[in-house]
Amino acid sequence: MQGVNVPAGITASLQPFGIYLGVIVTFGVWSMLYRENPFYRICEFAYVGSASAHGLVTTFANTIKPGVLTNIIQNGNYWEIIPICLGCLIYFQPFRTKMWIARYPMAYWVGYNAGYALTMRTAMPLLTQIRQTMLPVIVRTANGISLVDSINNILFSLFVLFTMSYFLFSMNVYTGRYSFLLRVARVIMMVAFGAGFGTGVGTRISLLIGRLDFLFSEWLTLY
Amino acid sequence: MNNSTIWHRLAAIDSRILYLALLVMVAVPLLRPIGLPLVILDEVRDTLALIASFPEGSVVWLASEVAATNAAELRPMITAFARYLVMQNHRIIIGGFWTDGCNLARIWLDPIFEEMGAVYGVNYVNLGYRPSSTSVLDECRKDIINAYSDRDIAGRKLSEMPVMAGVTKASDIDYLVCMSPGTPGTSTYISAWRATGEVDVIIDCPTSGMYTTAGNNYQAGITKGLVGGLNGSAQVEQLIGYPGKAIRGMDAQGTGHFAILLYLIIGNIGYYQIRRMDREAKEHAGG
Amino acid sequence: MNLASMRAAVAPLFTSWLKSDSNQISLASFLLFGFFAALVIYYYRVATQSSRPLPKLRRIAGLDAIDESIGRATEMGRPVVFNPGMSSFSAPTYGALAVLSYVAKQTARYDVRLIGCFRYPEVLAVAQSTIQACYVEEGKPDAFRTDDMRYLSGDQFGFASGCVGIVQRERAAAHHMFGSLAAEALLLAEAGAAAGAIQIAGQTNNLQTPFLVAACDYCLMVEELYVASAYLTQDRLRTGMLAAQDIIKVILIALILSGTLFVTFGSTLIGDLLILY
Repeated sequence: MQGVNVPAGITASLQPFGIYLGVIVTFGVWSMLYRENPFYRICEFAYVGSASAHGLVTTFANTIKPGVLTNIIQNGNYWEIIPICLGCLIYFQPFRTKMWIARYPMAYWVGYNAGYALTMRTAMPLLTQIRQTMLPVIVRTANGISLVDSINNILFSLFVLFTMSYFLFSMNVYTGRYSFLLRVARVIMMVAFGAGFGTGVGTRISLLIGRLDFLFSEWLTLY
Repeated sequence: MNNSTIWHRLAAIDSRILYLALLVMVAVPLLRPIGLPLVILDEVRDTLALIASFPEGSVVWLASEVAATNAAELRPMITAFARYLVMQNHRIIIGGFWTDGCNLARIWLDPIFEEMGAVYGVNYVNLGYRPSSTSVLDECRKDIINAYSDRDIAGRKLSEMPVMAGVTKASDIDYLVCMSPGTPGTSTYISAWRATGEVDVIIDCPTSGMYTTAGNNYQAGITKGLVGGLNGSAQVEQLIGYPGKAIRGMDAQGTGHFAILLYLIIGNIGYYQIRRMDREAKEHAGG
Repeated sequence: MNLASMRAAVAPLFTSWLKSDSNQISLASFLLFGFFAALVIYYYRVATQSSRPLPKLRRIAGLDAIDESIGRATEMGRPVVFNPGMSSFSAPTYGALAVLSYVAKQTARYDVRLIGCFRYPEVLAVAQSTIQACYVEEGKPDAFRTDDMRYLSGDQFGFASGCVGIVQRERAAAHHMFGSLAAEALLLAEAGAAAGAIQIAGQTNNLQTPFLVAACDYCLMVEELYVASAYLTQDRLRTGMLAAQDIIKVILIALILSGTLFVTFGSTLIGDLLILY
């Protein structure tokens, strides 16, 4: 956001207030763990409101203002008025009879994004990963065949194939006596999800550490 | 059926007690560190070596894709990287597409840059937040200055800053260090700049939650460096010789993980035991 | 023949227009995706001819449960909360909107209140139009309440805390989470579980799937989200597209298998062809 010059003295005197506010909100949000209560609700509404307002102010200050002042007025890129007008059509949304007008910028937006997703830039990561999936199932080293690496690669290739074929919805490859293979594929995915769960838990614990660090170091100044 | 077995009593524990126990398990090591060993991974060592291989004056885009909600993991990470990049005397361009990203970078990093003698506009610049990562990054492929309307975070002219000398488009950037808590994140830059060949070297710094996906990209060679989560931040802090918040948090993360592991093991054993007992009770009633 | 010499051989083919967008564009990817596009067009033609048979889709329990959850909401007289994910327009969001249109039709039919939570105003606008069209189709245009389509916040956790509050306060009978979910997935699922709602999640983020598997009644895994629209509506066109996608997957599987075989015998030819430009 473009800077607002606040005198250093005011910033410093507001700092303790900010810390106390942070502490109150932290406990307010944690109170939800006990049960839904007005204290949590106040924190929730204040957060949702301030986050929306912050987004609005930031977008105006960082995009609309410099876009109009610099790009259009200063640099004379008058054609940029066209997308601005197109964007403004969205404000017809609340009017029932004129709502159809708001669909034009939406159609443009949806079309642009769908088209963007289909460009070759999405193909590159996909094809690179497919290439890296092609591993030798018999790994030869200077001393002969590496059994451990070979088993690793065989398992890797099998898991990829099972998982990919699980997502064939219109081909009933896993019917009759082969139906157990569907379960095997699911178990393989569950193992991968387990790994994801482990790392995900790391993030959750880090969030708690971050809040506790704030309480201990900035509020209670214990370290 | 006997509902007073240890497993039934454990299953009936109020989840609030479990929250409290977890809080204690995490809080105690923060106050009294227990010194659990920190293992330095090869990927972290290789990443730092890769950065060091770039000559002085190289241009790095430091993607500050951070928010207050992931600050616990990414603040130590971006801080440690900022120090290391200044130590390498690389020119740092800070950009980001999370609403708070660049503001937080200013609050967290400016004191560090000042402490290390880096000068704003000469050694580093903060571009500020812009919505719509797709169109801004696309425009940067042609003209970075225009994509940012020739203004930095405080409205100063980018074109007059020495740090931007010779940097007109994305392909002038030598490498990219990307904090990645989700989207926008590394995947955004991969499709915008890596897949289009503008920037070949991306160093991925995901949160722990994003680590498995980041690992796929790293193994496939799409990203060239990987430092993940609080653990990765602690390793960087250790390797560059500036121990900070990440190293302090590692003990707490270890004990927190231990608590979760304990819950999972006991919970699962209990679940199967209760299921077995229920089945046996049904068989008795039926037989 | 190594990669460098192959590149040298095909380099003259790529001069201006292909290379102008990217210097990493791949000949193989261009041909491959061209073939895929042709396949999709072929199945489009098959689907439009009602005399030609289309394959039957596999049963997906999570999608069958959508009707069950709306039925429960009808019995309890409590609302259905729908969350179309955290991202702006992207493939998972399109998937979520397809499910939303089905859910909206059902809620309109059974007079159940539908509450939508949105993070992006553009998604809200499209969803509003979609839902309104569904209510009109069911002959109940006045039953649609714009107030129940709520934009909460562009901030990830601002949006999440708003959703948590809505699910808890409105005592949702069913909580549907589709689209792209990130770190807030578990918070939302916990809130739904605490409110006693039937929870169905369908999203493409592998990292969040384990949390949702643990916390929801039904969880669609990854690609199952994209099947939703075809599966729920049994529409021929959508089923045809799905059949084309399945053939593409089989081709990719064959490619991986043959590549693995080649690599095992010391040749990286197939892998190299994929990134050849």
